[in-house]
Amino acid sequence: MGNLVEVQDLVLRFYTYEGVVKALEGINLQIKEEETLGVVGETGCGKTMTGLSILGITPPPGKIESGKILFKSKYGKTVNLLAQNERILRHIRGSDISMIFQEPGAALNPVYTVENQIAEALLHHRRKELLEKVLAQIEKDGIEKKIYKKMLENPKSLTIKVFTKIPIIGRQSRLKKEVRKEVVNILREMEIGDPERVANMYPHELSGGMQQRVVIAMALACNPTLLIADEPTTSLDMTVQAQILDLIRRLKKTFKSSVLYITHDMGVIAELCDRVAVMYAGHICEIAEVKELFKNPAHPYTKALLESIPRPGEEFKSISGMVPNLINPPLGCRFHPRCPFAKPICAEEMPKIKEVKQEQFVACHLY
Amino acid sequence: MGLGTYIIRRLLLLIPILIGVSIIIFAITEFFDPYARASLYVDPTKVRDWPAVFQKYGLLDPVYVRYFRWITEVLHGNLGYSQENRMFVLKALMSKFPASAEIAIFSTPLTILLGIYLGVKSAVHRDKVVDHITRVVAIIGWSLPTFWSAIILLSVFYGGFGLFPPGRLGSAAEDFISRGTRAGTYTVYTGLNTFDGLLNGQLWITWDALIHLFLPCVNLTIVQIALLIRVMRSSMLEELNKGYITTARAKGLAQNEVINKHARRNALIPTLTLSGLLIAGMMTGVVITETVFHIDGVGSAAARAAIRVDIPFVLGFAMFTGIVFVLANLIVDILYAYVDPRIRLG
Amino acid sequence: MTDFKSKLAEFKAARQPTIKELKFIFTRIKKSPLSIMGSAIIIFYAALAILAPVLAPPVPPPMGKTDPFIVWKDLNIPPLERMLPRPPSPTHPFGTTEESYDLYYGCIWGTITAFKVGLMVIVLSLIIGLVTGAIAGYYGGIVDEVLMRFTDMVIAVPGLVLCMALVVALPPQFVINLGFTQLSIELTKLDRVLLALVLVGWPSYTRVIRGEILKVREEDYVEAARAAGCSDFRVMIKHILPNTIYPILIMASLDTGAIVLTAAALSFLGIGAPPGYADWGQLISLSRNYIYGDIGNPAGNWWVWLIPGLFIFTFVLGWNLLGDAFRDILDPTLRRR
Repeated sequence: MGNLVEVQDLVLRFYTYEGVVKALEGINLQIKEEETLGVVGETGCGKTMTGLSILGITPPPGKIESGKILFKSKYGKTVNLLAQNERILRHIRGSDISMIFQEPGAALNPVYTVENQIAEALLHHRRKELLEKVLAQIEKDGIEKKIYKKMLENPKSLTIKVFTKIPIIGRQSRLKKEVRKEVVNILREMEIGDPERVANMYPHELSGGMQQRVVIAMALACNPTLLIADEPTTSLDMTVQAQILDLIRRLKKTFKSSVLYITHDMGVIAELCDRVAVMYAGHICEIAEVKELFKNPAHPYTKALLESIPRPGEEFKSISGMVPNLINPPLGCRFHPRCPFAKPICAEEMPKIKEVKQEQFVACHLY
Repeated sequence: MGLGTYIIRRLLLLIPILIGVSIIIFAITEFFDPYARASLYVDPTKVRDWPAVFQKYGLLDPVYVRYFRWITEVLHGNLGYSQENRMFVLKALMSKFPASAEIAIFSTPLTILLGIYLGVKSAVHRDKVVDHITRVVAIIGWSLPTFWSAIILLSVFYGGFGLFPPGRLGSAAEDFISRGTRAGTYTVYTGLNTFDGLLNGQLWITWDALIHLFLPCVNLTIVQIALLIRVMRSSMLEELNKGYITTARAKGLAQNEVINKHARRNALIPTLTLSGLLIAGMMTGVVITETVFHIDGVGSAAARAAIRVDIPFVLGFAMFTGIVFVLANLIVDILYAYVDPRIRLG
Repeated sequence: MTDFKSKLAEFKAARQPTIKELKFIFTRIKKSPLSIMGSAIIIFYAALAILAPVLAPPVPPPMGKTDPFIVWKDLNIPPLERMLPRPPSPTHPFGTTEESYDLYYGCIWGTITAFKVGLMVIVLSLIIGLVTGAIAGYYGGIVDEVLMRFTDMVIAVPGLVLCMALVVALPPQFVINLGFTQLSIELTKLDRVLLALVLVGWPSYTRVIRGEILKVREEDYVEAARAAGCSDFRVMIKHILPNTIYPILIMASLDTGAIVLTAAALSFLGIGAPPGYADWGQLISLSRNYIYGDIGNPAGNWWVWLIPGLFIFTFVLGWNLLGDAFRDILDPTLRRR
C-alpha cells in the first residue's frame, strides 16, 4: 500500500510572550493507506500539534516555519498541504481528512441539534451528490425541478440565495428530507440505537459515549481517507472506551480509511494500531510496527515508557527528570538529560532518524 | 424542568419583587411629614378639613397600617395627586407615556443591532485597528454625560445646521393634529406620532416625527452602546476559545460561517440578559434626553416634578420605572430560557 | 548586617512569584496606551485638585463667599448685564455663566468636588457592600436569601430615578432621638446627593462580593485550608478576600465614573448641588437657557456648557480607561498569549 500522508521536516513554532516555543522540530512521518498509525508520547510532546498541522488549523500564535505535508487526495493527486491556499484546504477538511478531539461535549455546539451539526458537514461537502439524488426523485418538470437544478449548477447565484430566504416556499423540504435520511443512516452506522430520536437531540442531552459517537459520525459523514483521532477516549470511562475503540476499528474497515491515533496510553496502542510513532518534546524518537516495538524497543525513551507501565506485583517505575521547557530545549537530542545511555555526542548533535531494521526507524546516537 | 415550569416559577417570583419595589418607594415617603404624605391621596389645595383627611387615610397610624392602605390605593390606581401637573399622577403618567415610548421603541433596535455588530467585529479582529477604534469609541460614549452629548448634538445639528429641531413635532404637524382631533378627521390611536401618522394616512407627520426623533435616539444609543459592545465582545472571545469552534474549522467551514453561525449564536445568549439592563438605562437616560430636547414625556415631567418637590409624581415615576424594569427582566429571562436549549430541556 | 541581608534575600525569594506577577501586570499596563492615558488623566486631575487654592485662589467677599466652594460672582459688571454669560477674557479665562459666576474658578474647584463625591461614595458603598456581601456569601442560608432579595429590590429601580426620588425625599435635617438628648445632623444639598448615591450604590457591591465569595468558597484550596484547621475568619481574610480584590478594583474604578456622571446629571436637573456651588453639573445647569444662540450666532454661548462638560467627560473617561485596562489585564483568560 502506498503512502497516504507523508510529513517531511515539519517545523512548528509558537511566538509567545515568554519566548519562542519550538513545538515541532523536523517531524518526519508516513501514514500508509488503510493503516492505523499511533502517535504516543507524554503531554506536551507535540502529538496534537502534528495532527492540527496536517489539517492546517494550528492556533495562533503558532506558525509553520518549514516542511512539507504530502497528501494523496481522493482523486489520486498528491498535493503539499502546506502550500495550498485556504479555499482548497477547506475542501479537504472534513471531506478528505477529518479530526476528532478529546472532549466530545466541548466539540459539539450546544445550541444546535445533532442532526443540524452532521447535516452541516454533509451539505458542505456532499451537496452535489445529495442534490442529484433529489433531482432523480422529482418526476414532474416544474418550478421545483428548475430550482433544484439551478442549485446544482450554480449554487452561488443570487436567485438561489434570495429564494432560500423566503419563509415557506424556500424551505427546500426535499433536500432536507434527503439529508435527514443520510444523517440517520450515519448514526445507525455508529451503532447508535434509535438514531431517529438521537438526531433530534441536543448535545447536552447525550452521555459522553454517545456524544463521541456523534462526533465520529460527523467526522466520517463524508468518507474521509484519513481520520485523525486526538485522544478520543481519554475523557470517557473504561467500558465506553472499549466500545469506541471497537467502533473505530470496524469503521476503518468499512470506510477503508487510515487512522492517525494520538494517545498517551500504550494499552490502546497495543489494541488498535498497526504501526506506532513515539514522540518526545517535539521529536519523533522511534517508528515501528506495534508488535516489534513492544518486543524490541530500540529508543531509550521507548524502553523507559514501556517499563513505566504499571504491572501488578511489581514496583512502580518512572522516568527520572522532567519534560523540558520547549522555549529553551536541551541542545542535541532533547531526551539526553534523562537518558541512562547518554553519550557526549548526544548533548551536541540531534540524532537523525534512520532505519535500523525492516520497518523500524530510530533517532538515536546508539545506532 | 421544562420551559413551562420555569415560566411559572419566574412569574411567581415576580410578586415578591414587585412588593419589594413598592416597599422601597413607600419607605421613601417615611421621610415626609403627614401633610406632605396627604398629597399621595388627595389634592392638598382642595383640602378644607385636615383632621378628617388624616382620619380617612390614617395618616397618623403606624407604619404597616399605612403601608397597606397605601398599597390598596395604588392597586386601585390612585397614585396620588400631582401639584405640578394638576392632575392625578396615574393620568399624568399615562398621558405622557407615549412620547417616551416612542423614543424607546426607536432607540432600542438601533442600540442592539449596532452593538452586536460592532461587538462581533471587535472580537474577531481582536487587538487590530478595528478593535481598538471600536473600543475607544465605545468608551467615549460611555464616558459622555447624557446631557452633555445631548447639548452637543443639539448645538451642532440644530444650532449649527438647522436640522433635527428639538421637540416631538414641528408646529405645522402639531396644528394639524390638534385641529384634526377636534374636527374628528384625525384619530390618535397610539399616541405615537410615527404610527399615528401612518394609520391616518398622513405620512408627512410620520416623517416629521422621525426627524424629531433622530437626535434623541442617537443620544440614547451613544451612551448605551458601550456596555453592549463590551459584553458582546467578551462573550464572543470566550466562545471563540471553545472546542466546537475547532471542530467547525476541522469540518472545513469558512471563517465567516464559523463566526456567524456558531460563535455568535452562543455569544448572543449572555448579551440577551444584558438587554434587561439596557432597558433600565433607557429609563434613566430618557429623563435627561427628554429634558434637553424638550420632549414632554414621563422623564422630563419627572425632572420638573423633582425640582418642584412634587413628591407624588416623582414616586409614581419611580414605581413606574421599577415595574417596567422588573417586567422587562422577566421577559428577558424567559427568552433566555427559550433560546438556550441547555436551560429549556434541563 | 549580614543577618539582615540574608533575611532580606530570603523574603525576596519567598515573594518571588508575587513579584513576577506584579512585573507582568506592569508590563501589560505599560503596553496598553489606553491605560497609560487613563492614569495620566487621573493624575492630572488629582494635581488640579491639590493645587486648586493656588491655581484659583478664593476670592474674598463681597464677590465670593466664606465657603471656598461657592463660586465667586463678578460684581464689577453692571447689574443689567450681569445676568448674561460672557465669553472668555483675561479676567475670566473660561468666561462667565448666567449671573456672572466665574467658570474658571468653578471648574477648578469642581475638581475637588468631583473627587470628593466619587471617592466618598465608593468608599462608603464598598464598606457596606463588603460587610453585607461577606455575611451573605459566607453564611448563606436565609441570611443570604433575605439580603439578595433586598438588593434585588433596590436594583430594580433604575439608578438615576431612585436617586431623584431619594434626593427629593431626604430632609435637610436628621433628628435622632437618643432619649436623654437629641442629635441633629444637618444635610446640605450635596450631602443629600452623596447619601442618595450611597443608598443606591451599595447593593451592586454586595452582589459582586457575594458572588466572588461563593465562587472562591467552593475552591479546593479553601477546603484544604479548613481541613488544615483554619478558623472561618482566617479563611475569609487570608484566602477568600485576596482573590476578590481584582474584580472589586475593576468595579470601583468604573463605578467612580458612573457616580460622577449621575451626580452631574442630578445637578444639571437642579436637584443636586445648590446654585453657585463649584460643581461641574451645576455650572452646566446654569447655562440651560443659553445652549443655542440665535440666527446670527449659531454657536451661542458655547463656553458655558462646553468647558465644564469637557471637564466631566475627561474625568470620567480617565476612570473608565483605567477600569477597562484593569479588566483586560486581570482577566485570566486573556493573558499570556
